[in-house]
Amino acid sequence: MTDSNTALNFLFVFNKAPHSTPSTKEGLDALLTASAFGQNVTLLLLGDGVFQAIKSQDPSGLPTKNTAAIFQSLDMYGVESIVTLDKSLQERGLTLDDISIPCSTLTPKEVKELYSTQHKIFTF
Amino acid sequence: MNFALHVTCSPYSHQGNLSALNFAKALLKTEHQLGRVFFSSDGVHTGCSLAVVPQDEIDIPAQWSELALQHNVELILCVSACLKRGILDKDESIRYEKNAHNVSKPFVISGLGQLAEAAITSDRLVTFGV
Repeated sequence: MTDSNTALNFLFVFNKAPHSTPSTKEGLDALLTASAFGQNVTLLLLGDGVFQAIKSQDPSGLPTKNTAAIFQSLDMYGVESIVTLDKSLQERGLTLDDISIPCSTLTPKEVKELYSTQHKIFTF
Repeated sequence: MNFALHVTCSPYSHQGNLSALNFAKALLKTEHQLGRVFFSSDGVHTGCSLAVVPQDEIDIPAQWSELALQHNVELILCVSACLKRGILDKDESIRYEKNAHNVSKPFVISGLGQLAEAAITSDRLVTFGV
């Protein structure tokens, strides 16, 4: 686990709605840094975190950084594993069609398995 | 086991900062090691040298400094979080032409790479938020 030559599994859990706290921006910064360090990065959009990547948002009128745009470029930075919980979508009346980036859904059991395979977990 | 901590809340707004300090103290009484504490978001206020705490209250920033000096723990402040919150060391105050600097010893301003490195090299990374 401390062998620096081996990439580790880093899970980033985003569980807050966007544009309400600086959390999204800070989480994305940390996630992109981990990816730049060559680690296997997975992003889990959990609970209200699913709102961060929905298509029907236009934050351009806000004076803050447009974090919605950063999600579009995640694959360019080597972050290809993006998942969400099917229950998180259902509870908010959403489907995968509402998500603006390639994303797959997991059952609670699969989320548990995902957590168990991670070396480090960050929550933002 | 080698631990690293990640603190994202300020000393007097949420319990998390004091919990992290207590966790660090407890950890250092065991056989475990604590190499680095990374402060980001509002957590960077911990490194402000201008905080004045009433005498009958716990001086959380001073206790972090004391703990770090005693046990040789690195206290790293996230640079992007610091700059927009007005936490500057001498170099940054010169770079941005500000008339003061306010980082306590032994806190050091550095980048998010220090958090990624701590996550890679530690056995456990524990985050203290709100």
